[in-house]
This record gives sequence, structure tokens and C-alpha cells, in this order.
Amino acid sequence: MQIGTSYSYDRSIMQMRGLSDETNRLLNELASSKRIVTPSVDPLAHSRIVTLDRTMANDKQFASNVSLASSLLDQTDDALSSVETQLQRAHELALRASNDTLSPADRAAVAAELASIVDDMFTIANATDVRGTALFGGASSGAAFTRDADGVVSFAGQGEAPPIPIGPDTNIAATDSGARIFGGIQVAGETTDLFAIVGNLASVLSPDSTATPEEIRAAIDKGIEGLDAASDRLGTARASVGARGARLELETERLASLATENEIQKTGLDGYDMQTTIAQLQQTMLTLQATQASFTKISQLSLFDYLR
Amino acid sequence: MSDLLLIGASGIRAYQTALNVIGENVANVDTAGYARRDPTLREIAPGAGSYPLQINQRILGGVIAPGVSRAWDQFRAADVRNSGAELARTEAGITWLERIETVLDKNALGPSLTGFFNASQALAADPTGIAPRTAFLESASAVASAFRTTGEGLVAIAEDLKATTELAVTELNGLAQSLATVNSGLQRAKEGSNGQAQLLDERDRLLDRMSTLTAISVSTTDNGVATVRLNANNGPVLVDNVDAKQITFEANASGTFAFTLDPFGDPQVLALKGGALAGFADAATRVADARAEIDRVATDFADRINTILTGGADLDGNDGQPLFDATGGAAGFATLDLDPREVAAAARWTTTTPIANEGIARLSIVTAEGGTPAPSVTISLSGGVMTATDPLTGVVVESVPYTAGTPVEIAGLSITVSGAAVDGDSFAVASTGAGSRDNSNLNLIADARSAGGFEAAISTVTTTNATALTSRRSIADAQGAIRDGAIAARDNFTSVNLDNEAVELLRFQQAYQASSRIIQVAREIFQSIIEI
Repeated sequence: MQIGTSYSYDRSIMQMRGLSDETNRLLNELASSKRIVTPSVDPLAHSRIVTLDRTMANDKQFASNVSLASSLLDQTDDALSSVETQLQRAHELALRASNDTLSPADRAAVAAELASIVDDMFTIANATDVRGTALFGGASSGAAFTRDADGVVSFAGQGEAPPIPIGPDTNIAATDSGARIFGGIQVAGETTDLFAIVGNLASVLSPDSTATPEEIRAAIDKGIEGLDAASDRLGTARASVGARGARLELETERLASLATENEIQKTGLDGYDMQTTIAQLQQTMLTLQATQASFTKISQLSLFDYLR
Repeated sequence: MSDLLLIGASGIRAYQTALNVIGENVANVDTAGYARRDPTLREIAPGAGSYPLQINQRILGGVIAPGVSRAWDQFRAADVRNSGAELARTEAGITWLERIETVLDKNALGPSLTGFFNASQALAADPTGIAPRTAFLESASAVASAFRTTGEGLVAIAEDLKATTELAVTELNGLAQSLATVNSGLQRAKEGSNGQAQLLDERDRLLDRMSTLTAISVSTTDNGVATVRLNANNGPVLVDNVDAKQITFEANASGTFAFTLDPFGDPQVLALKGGALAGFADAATRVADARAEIDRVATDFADRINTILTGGADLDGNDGQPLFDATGGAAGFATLDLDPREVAAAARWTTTTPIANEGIARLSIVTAEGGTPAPSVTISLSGGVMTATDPLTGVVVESVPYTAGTPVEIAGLSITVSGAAVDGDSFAVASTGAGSRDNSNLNLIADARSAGGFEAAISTVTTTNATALTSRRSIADAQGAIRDGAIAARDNFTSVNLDNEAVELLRFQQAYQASSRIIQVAREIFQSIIEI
């Protein structure tokens, strides 16, 4: 078998080119820390990685929504807890006012404190959330409650707050409408709201009041009944907020462990292993050097050199 | 004894020729298409003596080099051409598939779509926030730019591919023309002459080059004139003796390639089966398919998102605006200029469900096609009939029977009831006002994402291309090995090996020296006769 001189050179060139291509590919792998640098390295694994990447991006967004929803629920709970404290104080004040021996000055002080409780609750009910909108405003973005010249507080929002998406086809109501939390309280067959309950107590006890002692007693009794109903309402609301918060905590944990799992799966699919790649690179470079060295030696061999 | 002198002289002449042939071989060691020349040496035929007494005496005539033979094996040459054509087709395909892969993969079209849909989810969590609205519009720009660069990249590939194919077709036509010229020369060349060998070299160089462009089948006559058929030995004739036909090519509207043989004589549609041209045609089909799919995804995506957005209400309570313009396909994909407040996150119609309702029915409402609904209306459900009432006057506007889950048109609205209603349930429906925190229009975008499957479609295009590329690479490896084997087998016969030439050089040099020694001896013998 005779090998043409020209062909033997071409062949060596092709072999060396192949080896440097391989070196280059391995270097690319090392530099990018992945085996599947282009889809064609492993089309099937690549398409799975693309799907995983998408899932991970979605989960990241859902995790961010979950964390927003959590902070909104925390804020709601804080607000409701403050309102509860205020209600307890109002309850104490109402009980103290129901004592007939209370001097008119003390009664005026109680009335003033009750009025300030209404102010505080109005401020809390109009709190803005981390998004800069009213926490209890429902579906509208303006103030949740307004107070007219007579001091009557009314719900200015509309409808229910939009639920926040926390998963594919999964939503959570991260905020509650103020109308449902502070209003719609049934007392003695009438529908009233928290502000009116405390506000009425304050006005009936104020020095300007013209009410008879009997009327005052009846108003205090009705007020205490209203405060109890409002406390119940707030308790239920806080329980609901707590339950949703617990669900979000579970969701946060689920997303976190899913992220880890997906990352592991992705690494597995890619199959990049630095040690292996480095070893392959060294082997390829060694082969290339050996090929170059032997090519140089062999190409020096020519019978013409020995014809003297 | 003058015969010895003549024999010596013939040896000198013959080995001079032989040495020249070795010189020619060494000089052309790296010339493409050159086939090794072998000197033909023949003894000069001994003739009968001219005298009757010498009739039985053998007369020796010496040696003659009547010509050179060209080391050639047409079957092995055909093997090289056929395997080369196969390899060229695959390798041409690989080059272009790699470019398609880069365009599909590196422009991050899939990830930018994912980013867009996730930005809409982020906006759903804070529908009135200007920051998430701006982020949503930014992600829309990223999608538009990814569609555009991908589309433009594919268009550029298609253009380059077309230009490359033009060049290759022009080259093939040139080669066919040159071969016809060589054929004409071969008809007149003297058998065994160096001129004929040179023409044959040129013929084989042209044929080898042609076979990298397209699969050919070659038949040769005794005097070396080649007839070339395309594809196989029953394919259409490209070069017949001194007559070469032309090939033209054009790209169809869809981007695929069509080749025509002899367009100005007897036009014939060609399906090329091998060589780079076939590889280019394969690649053109791939580019066309990828372009069509990316364009389809772009149009579908833009249509769906625009339909959803224009059906909603923006932050100021106005009707939503379209966001994308895909009329130019992927390559012309653009976003329309929207203010963050103009993103329609809210549904056009807000439904308030009174606590007093006993059923769990919910309404999903869009403006009916061509409908002009009043700004507010009360919808009540009773006994399978939906009734629209003016909330201010209490006047019944319209009554229609309905089925849960199927949209019905009433009072200019298209309403779908979900869940079971209890007779007497009613809903207050009003046009969404300014500053609404409703996000249900964005939920529709999430629905469109799963219904449209845009990201999966992009991934499928990429994977299909990558799979084709991977399989072609392994095919190319195998075809390369086959081609290498064919070249080795042919070279075994035809190529110049310097070591062999060195040996032959020594041999002919020695024979030359020996012949000159013969002349010297003849002279000495003649001298000794004279000196008697």
C-alpha cells in the first residue's frame, strides 16, 4: 500500500486540526462551566434544560409574588392587631363610663380618649401598603376611608382587592377590603361599622351631650355589644390572615426546595464535570503535542536526504 | 560492433526520458488532480538481418521510451467523487445548520418570552404600580427585540445561503464549460503523449471539483472524453462530449431552492442528490421552515396579547391599547409606544357580587363584538334566563336564556356564567373606572401563555434544528471516514510518493550511467580493433 506524499501531509493536517477543535471545545466547556454549550451538543437534554429554566424563572417570579403577599398579610395583621388593642382600650373605657359614680370631668376625659381612638383607627384603616396603595382599599387605588365634616367615617373603596398569582392558576387574596373588616357589623338589628360604634360612645359621653343618664346607659350597653361584635369580627379576620400567611410560608418553603431540586436536576442534565473536562483537555493536548512531534519527525524522513 | 554503440545510445535516450518523468512527478507532488506518470520502456523490436548469412542471427535494437503512462483507475476515482459528494452535501448542511442554531439559541427568544409572562405576573401582584408597569413594557421590548434579531438573523442566513448557492452554481457551470473544452482537446490528443496526460489530469481535477458541488456519474471513452450525468448513471446529462448544459437556480417565495437544467434549451427541473448544492438546498428548506415557524409564533403571540389588552381597561379607565405590531413577521416585530398607565391590567367590566347572593355563580364579561353597552347594568339570573336591568331606572333592557360555561350576548356585553346560580342572584356590572386595582386581564395573559405554547414552540424549533445538526455531524464523521478510505485507495494507485520516486530516480540514474558505460566500452572495443 502506497500513501501519496501529499495525502499524508493533508491527513496529518486534518488530524491535528481535529485535535485542536476538540481542545477548543473543551476549553469552551471549562469557560462556560457547562457541557451543553450549544443545543446540538445534546438536543434532548438541552430541550429539558430549557423547560427547567422556564420553570425556574416562573418559580422565581411566583416566589417574589409570595414574598410580596406575605409582607402584605403581615402588614394587615399588624394593623388589625393595633385595631384590636384600640378596641380593648375602648371596651375598658366603656366599662369605666358605665360606672355611675364617674365625675363629669372623668367622663369628658373618657370621651376625649374614645374620640382619639376613632382617629387612630381611621389612620390605621387608611394605611398604605408596600405598593403605595391603600391596604384596605379593596379594588380601588384611592383612600380606603373618608371622614366627612360631621366626623362620619365611610368606606371609599370598591369591591375586593385583586388576588395575587402565586402559582399556575393559583391566587391568594393578600389584602382584605376595609368594608368587610371594619363595616357590616350587626348590632341590635342595625348594620353599623367600627368607627360609628366607638364614635357614638365618644359623642354620647362628651360634655356636649344632652342625653339623659338612661339614654347614656343604653348607649353604653349598645356600645359594649358593638365592641364585642367588632372584636369577634377582627378575631375572625386575623385568623383568616394567619391561615393565609401559613399557606404562604408553606408555599415559600415549597418554592425554595423546588428551586434547589431544579438546580440539581439541571446540573445533572447538563452533566458538566470540571475534573473530567480538565482530564480530557490534558489528554487531548498531550495527544496533539505527540501528533505534532511525530509529524515533525516523520516529515523529516525522506529518502532524498540520503541520496548523496 | 556499431550495434553496441546504438544500444548504449538508445539506453541513454530512454533513461533520460525516464529521469524526466521522475522529475515531473517530484515537481507535481502537491498538484491537485495530478496522476503519477510512469515511463513506458520497450525493447526495440529485433528485426531480421539484411544479409542471407546473418538470417538466423538475432539483431539487438536497444530500448525506447515511446511515451508515458498515467497511473489511473477510473473506478477508484469514481469512488472518491461519490463519497466526496455525499460528504460535501452533509458538510454544507452542517455549516448552515450551525448558523441557524446560533440565531435560534443566542437571541434568547424563549427566555425573553418567559420574562414577559413573568413580568405580567409581577404586575398582577401590584396592578396599579408604575414600576411593575414600566418593567412589563420593558420586557415587551425585550420580546420584540428577540423576535426581531431572530427573524433578521434567519433572513440574513437565507440571503447568504442564496448568494453562496449562486456562486456555487456559477462555478459548476464554469466547470462544465471547461470540461467540454478539455473533452474537445482529448479528441485530438495523441495517445500516450504528455499532452494527453495533462488533459486527463485537468479532466479529473474538474470532475473532482464538480463532484464536491453535486453528485455526478462519469463515463469515459477510450480516448478519455468524459460524459457527465447528474445524480446517477441514469440522471440528466450535464456534459456530453463538447456540449455543456447550464444550470440556473432561484429561491421560491417560501425560501426553498429550485434548480433548472438547460433553462434556455430544454428546461428540466432538477432535484440534486449530492454535493454542496444539495446541502445548500437542504439548508434552505430548514431556514424556510424555521422562518415560517418563528413568524407564526410572532403573529400568534402579538394577536393574542393585543386582543387581551384591547379588551381591558387601563389605569385611567380607558380602553386598552395594542402593544405589539407583528405585521412584518418576526423580522419586523415591534412594540407600539405605550405609557405605563396605558397598560390594560384591569378587565373592562367590574362585577360586584352582593353578599346576599345565595349561589356561587360568577360572571366573566367582555364587551360583545360591535356592542355598545351602557356604563352600568344589573344582571340577574333566574330560571335559566339572564336579565339585564338599568340600575338607575329599574327598566329591563334585555332577557336571554343562558347556559353556564357558554358566553351569551346581552345588552352589548358577552357574559359567561361559571358556577351554579340560585334564582334571584344578581350582579352589579359597571365599566371599570380609573385607578382600578383589578388584575383579571393579566390572568388572561397567563391563560394565553398556556394556550399559545409560544415558549415550547420556540424550544421545538431549536431542538429540531439541533437534532438535525447532531445527526449530520455523526453522518459526516462516517462519510469522512469513507471518503478518506476512497482517497487512500485511489492514491495507492495514482499519487506521487517521494520515497518511491527517490528509489526510481536511483534506478534510472544507475541505468543511465550503465548505458553511458556501454558506449564507453563500445568505443574501447572499436579502438582495440583499430589498433590491431
